[in-house]
Amino acid sequence: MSMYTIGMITGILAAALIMALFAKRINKIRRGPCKYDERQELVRGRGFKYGFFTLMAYNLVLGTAYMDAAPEWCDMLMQNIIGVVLAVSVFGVYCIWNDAYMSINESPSFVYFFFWGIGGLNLFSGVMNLVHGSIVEDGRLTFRGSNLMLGAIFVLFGIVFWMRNHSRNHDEELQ
Amino acid sequence: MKNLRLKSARAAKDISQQMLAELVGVSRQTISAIEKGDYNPTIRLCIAICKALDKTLDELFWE
Repeated sequence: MSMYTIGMITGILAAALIMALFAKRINKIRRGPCKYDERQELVRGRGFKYGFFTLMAYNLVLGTAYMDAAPEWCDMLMQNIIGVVLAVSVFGVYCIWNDAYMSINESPSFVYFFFWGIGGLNLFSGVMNLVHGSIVEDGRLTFRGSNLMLGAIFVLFGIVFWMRNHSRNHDEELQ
Repeated sequence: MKNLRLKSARAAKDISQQMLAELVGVSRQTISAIEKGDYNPTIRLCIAICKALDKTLDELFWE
């Protein structure tokens, strides 16, 4: 077994362990799995629908534009990641704006810091990739740009979350 | 259409939106949406709200 394979397996196991510990900690903070009420489930269902249609539209546009050959500006993996990122953004923004992203048993401050924390880490990683020049290789956007995109999504979610809280507080003051 | 009867019944019992939400097991935003008339609750939630506020369905939800 080569050192590369051992390194890969160790990395995957370490990531799985960290994820399991993180999931356990989150479960403890929110006291069990996520619970959504009937209005939130309805909104989330609509959000999934809009996200799904976004992905379909993206694939349709891409398929029509590049019917004969794969796009030259990005690799195959990145092409799929962009579609998923767009769909998740639509779902996330719609649910956050309609107060259905966060479950009943989650703390708003935890979710808020989670967005900025994950967003910040991914942006940092993305900027490092940008500095090392691995995001664009031979004029093609590579999958290493996905960190930057994920970072941007979570920062967007954080901004929308803040805007929603701000507008809701304003509405309640008026009532 | 705003549900002012729900709002006044809640205020009469001196219960906040958050407290009512916890009593019936929904988010505070859902109670707010019902009061503002932005969300039409299921009969199950209507009954839970009525029980929490000691009111009948007619008193709170019948037009």
